[in-house]
Amino acid sequence: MPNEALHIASLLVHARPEHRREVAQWLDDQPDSEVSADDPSGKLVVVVESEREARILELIDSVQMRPGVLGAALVYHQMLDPATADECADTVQQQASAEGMPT
Amino acid sequence: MKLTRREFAKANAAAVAAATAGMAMPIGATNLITNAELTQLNWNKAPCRFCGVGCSVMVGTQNDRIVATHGDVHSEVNRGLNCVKGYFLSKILYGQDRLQQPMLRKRNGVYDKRGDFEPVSWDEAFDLMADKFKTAIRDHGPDSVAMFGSGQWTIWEGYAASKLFKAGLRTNNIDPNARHCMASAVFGFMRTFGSDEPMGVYDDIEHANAFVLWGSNMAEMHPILWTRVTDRRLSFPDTQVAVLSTFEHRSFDLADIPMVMTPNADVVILNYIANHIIQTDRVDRDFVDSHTNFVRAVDDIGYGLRDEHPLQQAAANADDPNRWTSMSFDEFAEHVSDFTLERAARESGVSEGRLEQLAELYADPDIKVMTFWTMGVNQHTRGVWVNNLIYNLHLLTGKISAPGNSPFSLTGQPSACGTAREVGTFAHRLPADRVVTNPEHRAFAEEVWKLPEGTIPERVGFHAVEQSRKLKDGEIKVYWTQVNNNMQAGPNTQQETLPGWRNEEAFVIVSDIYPTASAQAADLILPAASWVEKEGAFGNSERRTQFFHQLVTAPGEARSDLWQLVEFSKRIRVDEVWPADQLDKAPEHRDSTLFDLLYANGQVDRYALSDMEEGYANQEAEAFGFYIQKGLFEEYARFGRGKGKDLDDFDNYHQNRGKRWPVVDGKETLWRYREGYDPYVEAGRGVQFYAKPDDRALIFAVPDEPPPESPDDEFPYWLSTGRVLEHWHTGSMTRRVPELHRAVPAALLYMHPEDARAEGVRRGSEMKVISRRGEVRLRVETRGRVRPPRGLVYVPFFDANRLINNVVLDATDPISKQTDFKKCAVRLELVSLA
Repeated sequence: MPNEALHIASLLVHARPEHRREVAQWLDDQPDSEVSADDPSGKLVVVVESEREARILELIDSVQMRPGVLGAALVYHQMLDPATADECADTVQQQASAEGMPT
Repeated sequence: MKLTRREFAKANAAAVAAATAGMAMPIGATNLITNAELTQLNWNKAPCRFCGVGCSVMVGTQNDRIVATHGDVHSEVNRGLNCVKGYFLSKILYGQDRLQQPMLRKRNGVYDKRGDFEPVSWDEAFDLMADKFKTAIRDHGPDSVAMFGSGQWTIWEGYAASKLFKAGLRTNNIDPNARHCMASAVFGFMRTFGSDEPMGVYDDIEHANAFVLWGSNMAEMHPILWTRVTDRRLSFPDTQVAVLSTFEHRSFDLADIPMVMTPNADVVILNYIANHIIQTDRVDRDFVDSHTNFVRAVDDIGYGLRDEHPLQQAAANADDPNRWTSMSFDEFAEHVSDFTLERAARESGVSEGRLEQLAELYADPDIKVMTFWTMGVNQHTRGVWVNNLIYNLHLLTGKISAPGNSPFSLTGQPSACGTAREVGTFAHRLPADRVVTNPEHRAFAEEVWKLPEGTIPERVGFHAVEQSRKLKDGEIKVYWTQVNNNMQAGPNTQQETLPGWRNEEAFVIVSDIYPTASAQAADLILPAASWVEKEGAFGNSERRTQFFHQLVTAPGEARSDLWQLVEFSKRIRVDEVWPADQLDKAPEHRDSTLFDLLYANGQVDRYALSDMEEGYANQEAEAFGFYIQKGLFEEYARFGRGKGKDLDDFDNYHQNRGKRWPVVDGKETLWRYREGYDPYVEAGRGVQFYAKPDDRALIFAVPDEPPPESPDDEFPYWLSTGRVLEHWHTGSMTRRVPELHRAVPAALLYMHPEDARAEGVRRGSEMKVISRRGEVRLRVETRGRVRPPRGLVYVPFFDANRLINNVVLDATDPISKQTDFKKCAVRLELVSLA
């Protein structure tokens, strides 16, 4: 893997239910993160994309410091080669349509 | 919809996280998760190689490299989550300075202790090693060679190493670095229950309504289990969390009962709680009368220092500290009656109100309580006693071996339980709780190993700290270290460890994946394969055995510890290391090599390569021509079957997410010693502590004794050491990730802001921390994750450039020989104000 890599990670953030919306808003306001799903119990699925992996760790650290946040756990981490990251994943698409998934 | 690789990875990342949380996912994405072809990655399970929790992770490989990981949703341990350490998993193998070739100190083309490292072939390395081992044993006897291993060894690596030393080279001088971590827990278990490993499981978390952290920062050190505790606490608001430590750490954020105590006051607090249970008449008399005995431990046991140390000379029972005598319940009650609430509060610095709340968690029969502990208890000059005292509380109240009532000793290393402890890689042990000092145990091992009577020596080998001392004294001539970094992790580096390793008479070999402090202090460095570069097995804190396949190829000439041990054994003939009288008992082995004797013995080599699961490489099996991992595992498993340590059939573990031993008829055991859960408990007994001769656990009366060193006018501060999350253990692996290295760039000196003010320093100032043994320079931190009370400073021990263990005292628990890294006396000197 080249040293230049694109890092994709997902986190599961657990917030107190009454703080869920403001935590989600804060996460959406961060440059490299987006909230993909959330749940009234206070759980948020966050996807992070960055060329600097320290950024992912900083985000875990800083979200844990936000008011109402009880924990943030890493779930997924993948490294992509930036040179090919925006190529169409042909195999992916063909397989997906073969299985009747929305394309 | 056209997806790019980037979009696809993001969809995948979101889908796995949603599945983990049990949440609905954006349309269609859930189908992507486990479909390996879609992701173009090859996904396989493996237990994380960092800590003892034993999370299962899915490892995604592509072109023979790890490129992705995610928490395994099918794992009962982590249920899809992964802590920040898991983030390193895809990177730890790929540091720029990965060792890829053996390196030997040479001058003018030959080995020279004062020479510089030069690359050599495996043949040259092994030939020299074999020569050094044979010469040392011939001239100085088998106890002149030694090995230091680890709870990071896979099960078969630890087993192969133990067999090589105890049966092949005929010395018990082999010890794991679990000695620094779990030895006090082991002795605590053996004294109270007669069997190592917890009786409970992680499932206790979802049954308990109180948690007590006793010298453990779970929030940072065992974050996935902490997530489960947090979930329980929030889902059931009556749940209480008590956290006791000598400084405030992140686990205090969830604490309902936070307590910062004076170092060494835990013995007093624990005895007070026992007293409280008795005084308020909440002893479970039926349980106590049926299932326990009371004993008085021998006192005045010293501090495990060198024999000539004045503190050892003054101690009446330093030579034989692991003894006890019977006593009655009334005598026990009398003993603990001295430990009043007032006294506990005065000596610990914790308020009476908090202590009483803590005591009630144990005393109240309606509360199910789970106690967790790690290094705050084990790295303690009275660590074994504190383990015993914790069990006392659970035994007096009958709160044990039942869902939610669970004294739970957490471990630090991925296979501390499975390898270091169960396999018996300690200097006094044999597999499955057997010991070298017991003639029947030795005879059993010799029978399983098909070796003549008298092969295994009776004498207990040198333990970790003693190994350093014996190197320095010139008694150990050849020393082999695998999977650990003792030059950095061991105590008293400047006065014992480093002079020992650099002693002209010693030849020191280090197997590692990176040029650690230990590797650089060695004479010969052997490049190792790590984690999924080999087939492996770990046993976690809750007795769960988990397997993994080789998924990628190790770089260059790096080879697993297993290959190194077994390949090396081909270089030594039995008659070169055994005395004549032992050879006479087995003349057929005279011309055999240790490889023939120990590994090609008709057992370890009985499984063909065709028995391996298709589609996976296996470097060692291919090298030796037989499925060596399976052969070692099945031979090892004979030690535990029928002894409450039963393991499942080898092949099953490659298919499942692990099973908790004992596994009887394919069924794992959740709560040991309890009828209905544990197949070893006889019908009608209810509870049976069957590893003790009379089926009774022991409740120990112990006094409080002062620490070996306390602050005084010259050295006015307590020093405690530990870890920060991002740098696990000594940082050999995690510090290779440059971005992380920058995140916490160097070890800091954590201190109370008022102490900083009193010293005339501020955040960022550089200070010397000086003890009677050495000094280290650090930058002051007065904020952040660790908040010491006044009079105590805290330093993490991961930074190779700032070896805090120069400063730490090498006092040990006299019973377990585990070092106390948690308290010694220091003074501070300003270097620059900044």
